[in-house]
Amino acid sequence: MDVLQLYEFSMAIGRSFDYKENCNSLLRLIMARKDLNSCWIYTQREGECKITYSIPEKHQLEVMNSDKCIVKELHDRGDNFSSPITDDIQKIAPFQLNGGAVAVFNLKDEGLLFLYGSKRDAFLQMEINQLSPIIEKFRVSLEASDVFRKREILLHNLEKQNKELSDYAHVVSHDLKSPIRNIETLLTWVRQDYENLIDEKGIETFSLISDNLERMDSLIDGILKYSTIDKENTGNQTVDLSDLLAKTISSIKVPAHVSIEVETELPTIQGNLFTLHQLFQNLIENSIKYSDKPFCQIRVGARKVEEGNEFYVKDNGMGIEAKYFDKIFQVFQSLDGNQKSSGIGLSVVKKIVDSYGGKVWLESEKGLGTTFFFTLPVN
Amino acid sequence: MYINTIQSEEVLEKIQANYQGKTVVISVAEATSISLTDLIEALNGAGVEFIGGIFPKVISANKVYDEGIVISGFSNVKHTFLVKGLDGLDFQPEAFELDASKHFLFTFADGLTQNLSLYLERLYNIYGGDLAYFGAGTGSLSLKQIPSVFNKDGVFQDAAVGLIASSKMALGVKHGWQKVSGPYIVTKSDRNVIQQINWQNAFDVYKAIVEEHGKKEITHDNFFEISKAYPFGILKDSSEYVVRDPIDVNEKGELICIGEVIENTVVDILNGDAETLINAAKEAAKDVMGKIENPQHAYLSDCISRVLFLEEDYERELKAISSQLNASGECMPIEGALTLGEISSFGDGYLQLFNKTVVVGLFE
Repeated sequence: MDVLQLYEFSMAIGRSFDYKENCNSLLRLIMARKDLNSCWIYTQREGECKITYSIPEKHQLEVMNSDKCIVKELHDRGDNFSSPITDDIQKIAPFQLNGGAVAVFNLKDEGLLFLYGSKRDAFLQMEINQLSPIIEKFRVSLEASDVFRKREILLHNLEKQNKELSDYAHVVSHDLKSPIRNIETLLTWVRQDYENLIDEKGIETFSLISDNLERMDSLIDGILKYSTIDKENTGNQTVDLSDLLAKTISSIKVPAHVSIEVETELPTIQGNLFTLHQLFQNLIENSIKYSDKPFCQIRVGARKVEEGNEFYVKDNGMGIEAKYFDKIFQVFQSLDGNQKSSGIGLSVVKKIVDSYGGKVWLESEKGLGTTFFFTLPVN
Repeated sequence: MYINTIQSEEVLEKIQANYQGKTVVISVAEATSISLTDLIEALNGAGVEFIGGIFPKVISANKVYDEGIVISGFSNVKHTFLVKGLDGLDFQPEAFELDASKHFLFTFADGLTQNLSLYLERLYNIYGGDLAYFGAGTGSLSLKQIPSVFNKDGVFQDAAVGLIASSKMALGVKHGWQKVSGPYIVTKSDRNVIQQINWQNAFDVYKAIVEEHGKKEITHDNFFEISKAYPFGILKDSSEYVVRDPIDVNEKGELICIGEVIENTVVDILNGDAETLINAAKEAAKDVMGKIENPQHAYLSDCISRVLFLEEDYERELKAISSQLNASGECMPIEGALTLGEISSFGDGYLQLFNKTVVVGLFE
């Protein structure tokens, strides 16, 4: 066999991640150049011995149970070899073979490859040896095709589940909001209509109901935000973060006892305005919400790091115990039973940072305050 | 049977008189003035089963005709078919159930359609080595694509027609071209267009080789005059090259062939003379002799560029074939066409498209 033919064969390997196209590219070429009649691959998949590729395509689909042991025996030999058309080979062939010989190549986990030539008495050992490294390279490409196929299935399922989750969150949010508003309205009417009949304890109970309704409303908003934030994170643009932070701070209702200081110049990066605004807003609001000192100080800053930029939001609030460091980023995890906290704000922060390929973490000391750090990679 | 007429009724009468109960294959020379629409209507009206193709020229006995129709009759035809849309990827030939007896498949396909090789791949994918294959690429000598295959439904471009018969066929495939230089690697190509050879502009490489061998300058203007003697040969194990015919060069210096040359194909540059080509044709005819018991007729799928190369000597090629086929003193009808690509398997091997080749089919 000419060395250039081996070159031709090797260049036909792995031209596609699609299993069938990958097989077509090499095996059709080998058949054409060597005047072969057919070829097929047995693969052990999900416990079944299946023909996963053949030329021609029309064949008996399954190897009979009783014949599986023949395939197994050939596979267990572990080598590549030529064989005349014996009864055993005919039994496991997907079509009628009329004399000739097969070359059998062991593809390890990818099964067995058979090349069939009706005019051959045998495939020469030299030819098998020459083809072996080509077929070995082909085997590796089939493994890659397999991984690609599994990844495609996973991605498809993931996309489907994400869509279902997003649809579900939308439906739940919108459908729940309506009865909550109705209850709130009815509650107001009852309080007005029966003002003279309700005692102080009753008014207190109404107040509690109102607070819970407000919390439920806030929870629903949080769910909606959490489920849709990644959809907002599309369409990058150049964002001056110093400018964005100033606008974010001015949009937050900052209590009189709270001061917010931007300690460093913030960089200009490529990102999405909406999600970056949401990121800083949630962290600053979190610091405000958990401030327990008469004078609350919040400091924001950034520095360059190897992978991009690192940011911090530091407060002198109540602090968080180390055992809760992971928990606080999970959805609906609020540590203090704060009735107005939805437990979603920091989950949204993590989701946004993740979507940029960054990391978020915190350092905290109970009673002294917390610093949230996050990185945003350059690319 | 050769007829030169513009009267559809006359063709019908000949078919009814000579091919009762048979499916007929109609090969039409492109200069023939007959209206195919009228012919199809007449044949349909009389219930004649047929397929057909338009070719640069047709062959009957030892003669080549620029005008006229060649009719060949086939017995035991089980299925006829039409495949449209060969310019796209979505076509699929019908998969007929065949019994265990010997069959052959005869097809005419638009020789200038984009996916002719894919059509052959898909045919083989369905029937594999269970069938013997014979066929021809249809079209015009101008190499401008025209509607060139027909059946009862009309005349079509980018299409193929065919029949499957339950009887035996013997095949002889030869060309006679010999290596003058190589090997080379087609390092860049797009279907039938060779863009680079050995990582360099295809025409530059081809020109250097051909000019050195032929001692004649080859330019964009005289390209086909010279290139018809210097085809590419795709290397195969244990058989003749598969020939690819460079028919034109474009302004980018890319060589346009009849038939696909996939990237990284290893090729030689070939050349031939009248004697080697005629001898090869004789060998092809010799190969089919004695392979079937009761041959009724022969059909030749002979490349048009062999005629352009052999010129006056081409009649010698036909005579060489017929003298072989009629060596035992019989007078076997020999018909055929000068084609744009020849379709065949090497015996029962993989189905392929050839150029500059003669394929002799002997039918029961």
